Amino acid sequence: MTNDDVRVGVFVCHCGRNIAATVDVHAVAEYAKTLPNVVYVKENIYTCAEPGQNEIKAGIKEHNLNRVVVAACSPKLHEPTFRECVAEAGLNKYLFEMVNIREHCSWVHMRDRENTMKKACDLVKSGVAKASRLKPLEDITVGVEKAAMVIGGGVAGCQAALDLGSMGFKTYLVEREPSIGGIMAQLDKTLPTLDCSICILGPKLVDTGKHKNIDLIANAEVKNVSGYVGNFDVEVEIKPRYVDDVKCNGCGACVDVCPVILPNKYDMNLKPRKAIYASFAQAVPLRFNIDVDRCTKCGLCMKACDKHAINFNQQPKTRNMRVGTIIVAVGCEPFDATRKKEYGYGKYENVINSMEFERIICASGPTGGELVRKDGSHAKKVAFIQCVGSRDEKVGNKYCSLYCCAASIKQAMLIKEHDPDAQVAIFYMDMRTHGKGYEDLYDRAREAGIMFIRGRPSEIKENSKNKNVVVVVENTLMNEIMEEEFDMAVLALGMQPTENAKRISTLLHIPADTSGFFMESHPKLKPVDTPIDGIYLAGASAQPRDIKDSVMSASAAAARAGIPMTAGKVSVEGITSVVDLSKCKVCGICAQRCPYGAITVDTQKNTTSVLGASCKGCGTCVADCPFGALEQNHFTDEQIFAQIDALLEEEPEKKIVSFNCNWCSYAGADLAGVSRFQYPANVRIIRVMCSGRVSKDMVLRAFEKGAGMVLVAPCHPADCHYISGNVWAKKRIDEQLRATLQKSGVEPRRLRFFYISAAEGLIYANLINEMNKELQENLEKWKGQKLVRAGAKKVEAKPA
Amino acid sequence: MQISKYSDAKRTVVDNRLWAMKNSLVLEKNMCIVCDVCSKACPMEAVVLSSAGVDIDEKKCNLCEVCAYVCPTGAINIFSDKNKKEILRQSGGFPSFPKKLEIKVEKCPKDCVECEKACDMTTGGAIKVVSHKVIDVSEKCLRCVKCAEACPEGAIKVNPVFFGDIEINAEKCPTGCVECVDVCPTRAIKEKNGKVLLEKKYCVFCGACEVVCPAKDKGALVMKRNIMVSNGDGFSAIWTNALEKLTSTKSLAAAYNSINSEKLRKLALESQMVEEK
Repeated sequence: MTNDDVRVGVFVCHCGRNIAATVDVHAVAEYAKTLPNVVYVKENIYTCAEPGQNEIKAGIKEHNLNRVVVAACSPKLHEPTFRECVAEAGLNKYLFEMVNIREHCSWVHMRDRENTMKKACDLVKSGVAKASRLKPLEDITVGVEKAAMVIGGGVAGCQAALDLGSMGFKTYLVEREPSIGGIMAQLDKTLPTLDCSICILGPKLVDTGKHKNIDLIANAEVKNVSGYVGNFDVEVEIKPRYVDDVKCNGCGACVDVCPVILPNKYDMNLKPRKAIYASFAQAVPLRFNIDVDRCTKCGLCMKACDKHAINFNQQPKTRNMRVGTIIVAVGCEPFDATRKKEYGYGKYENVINSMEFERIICASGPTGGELVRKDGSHAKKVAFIQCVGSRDEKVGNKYCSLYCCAASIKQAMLIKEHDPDAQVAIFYMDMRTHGKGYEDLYDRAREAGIMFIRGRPSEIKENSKNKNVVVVVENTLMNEIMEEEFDMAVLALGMQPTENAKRISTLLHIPADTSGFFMESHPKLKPVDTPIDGIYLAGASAQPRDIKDSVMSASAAAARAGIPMTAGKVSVEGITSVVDLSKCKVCGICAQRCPYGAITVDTQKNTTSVLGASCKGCGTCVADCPFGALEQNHFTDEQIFAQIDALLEEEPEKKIVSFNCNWCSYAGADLAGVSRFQYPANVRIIRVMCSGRVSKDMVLRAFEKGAGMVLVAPCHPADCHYISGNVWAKKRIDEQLRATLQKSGVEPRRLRFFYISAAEGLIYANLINEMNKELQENLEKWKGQKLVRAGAKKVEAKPA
Repeated sequence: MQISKYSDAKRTVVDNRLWAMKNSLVLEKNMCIVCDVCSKACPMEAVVLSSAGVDIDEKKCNLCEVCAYVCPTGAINIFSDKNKKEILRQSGGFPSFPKKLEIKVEKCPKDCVECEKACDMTTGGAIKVVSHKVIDVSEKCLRCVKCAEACPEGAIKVNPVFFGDIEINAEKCPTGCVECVDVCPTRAIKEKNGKVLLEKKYCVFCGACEVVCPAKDKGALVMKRNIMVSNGDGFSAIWTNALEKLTSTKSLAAAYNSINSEKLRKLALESQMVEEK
């Protein structure tokens, strides 16, 4: 394509008075006509409305346009609209560029018409410069395997598997423990209706076990996951049970003869089990296991088993499967109460935790459902301590675990049900009975005479004579310090992510928040999606959830997972990385940068390849390639350099170049616009998908062209949309580049690296104000600092 | 609620305390003769033996009962709540041992207490004449033959559990060392003129001397158990393991060839073969 072939059409939007009130749209349009390659310019009152769109389509046809620039609002708002519009007119949708003269211009510089005007012109020039260099791209379409995997067989995992199975998809349900059921199987009653937990869960487990589309793989762990949406290759290791799954009929004869007595994990170690055991009576699959570490290998079970099912020679087995989608339902675990030393758990025998309480009050528990203390006496006066391991910065769990208020009320009601004369007190900070019917439960508890005392106990002591517990608390409603003796104290444990969650997080590349819970793609609008396409979250691994919420999220995740599997294909944006093998030295740096494993480096064949379907298009690999062998489609070096050059053509020393990432700081600047937070008009924003795309050369180029200051604004450390792009940006820009600048005679303060989230519009505006102040103070001094570059990467923005 | 251990001057207790149930191993220190029988029989290698005494590693012990069965003095007992735990024996995994003494009390002369006088063990007397023709034999009895020798009527038959060889080569002993004399529970080893002297007929092959002997590597003391006598055979690897560790390989082979063990081996083979198919 020769330069003559590029025919750019520019459409400048008035947006009613939103843009036109501050920016002289007509003047901008006139300016646009003077720009190279621009063959057609049109003003629209509302470009996004149907008449506006028709004008674009007509322009393309009549003037044979092959590039379209729309100067209007934020591309985050209308880029998809206009892409579709140009596609309808027969143009490749990637030959469209949007210039943001509303959120980033007219709305934020309302008191400085002259400079706003200059900025609008600059932005249009930059947009045209990029548009002239755009290349047509195709979306990548990949097929989707019509099979799913659910990791974790708690109530959420079972529900997700049942839903997917019933939709007709082959579903592999992988459970780490010998039986599915999770924490719900250990509970006595559920809330708010006080119905039996295992009675409602049991049938669900049985359904899951015998569903024709569900392949239940218990006692197994996911060892390896590779691939991308639609085509995940999963390796599962099945641990040996030492009892043949097929031959064992679950009769239990082996258990009677086993001489080894061990604590039963299912019963919170309150009840015995043998070295050969089934997890619990309703276990699915109802098969026996041998705890081989504790087994004496006496062989009595072999004698007792008339099916010859026991086999000590079993080895771990590996199974490989390909699935289209994965649902993560690894759940959570109760907080370890021994960490709260002041409550004496593990030291005083009558301080127990809420899970142990569930087993003790359960009819199949160690005491047949009687609330009996360790010494055999009945507990008549019981205290519940709320927020043990929740809302507690000291132990690092700042969040509310959501379920424990209602759960403690339920447990208190169960005591009252067993023994109406028992005295029960609940020590709370705030009673949060948020669910449907939970407040009724609270009311019933008050009627039943359960005491609610507001205050977080500072200490639990033990009466050494009778082993009673003494709760020390400040009753904040009565303003008095209380010391009250109880027969038993129950600690309402918060939920926290399991140890295993970390492993799953690294295995699947799904990020976790600072508390360790998996992050949703969007907290409100995509609450069960992960940032990785094709992987969804169910149950309490994303946040603390009670049974109902877990089931709900599981069904939601199954429905979401059903979408690509029903469609049979997914399309991925074409803004991926590509390798130029002639420049590639197969050093492998790019593969290290890629958090998605999309880059394969084969040192033997001496090649590097990018798997388009896995590449999310952050560009981090491109920015860090020492040989310039990688390029990101639609955000090429050439395009971005052309933008920099265009923006800094006039009075560069007065300008601030701001590299904003699409997901956080660009959106933050949009928010500043929507909120009309005013800041100086000398800032020029360049949009990149991720701060990881901002290379050293881009910053150096800006200084070379004489930019006053440069800002790189990534997402906050744990919030990167591409998992780790901002980490590499920090390393490259914030840590390494300053020394280079110093050496080159540029004051390092002229480069700023500042985290801006999508919610921090005001902070962005304040930052620019502050930077501008500094720039004005040092204008003369900095103007003279000339960047000297030796051996810089030669990427010239060729005259288009 | 994990397995815990506590120890005082009298006993060591390994406690598997569950909320409403208590499983425990109780080692009575005053009855323990610090022999090596339990440590050899233990399939989990949880018994730690030193000259200071017997200790149990609670992290390894899983209360499988073997030590309680083989202890020659009944110093170890395993309880499930308040009852003795005997699952292994009840399910045929471990045989019982012959009655310690068979006494034809009808032969007892009036006012004869010869047997009681003759019983001379470091842990105290094990046989007691309660009244005429009523003789009480305690768990402590080690099956030496002193009482039988002393009985004027020959009414006492002793059933030993272990048969074997023992030899003390006094010339290899370190000068002045009388460790074995001090520990021998039946006083079969004596000191005479600074020399160690063994009366083989009283030896019960408990192995206490071997535990303390500082020169056993040099051949000062050689003890070998050849045969362990039991009431029938046990159907378990615990039993074969105990046989292997406590006796010579000869009797182990005999045990393997016994009907029960053959069955066990067959079963193992069978399940393997089916697996292979």
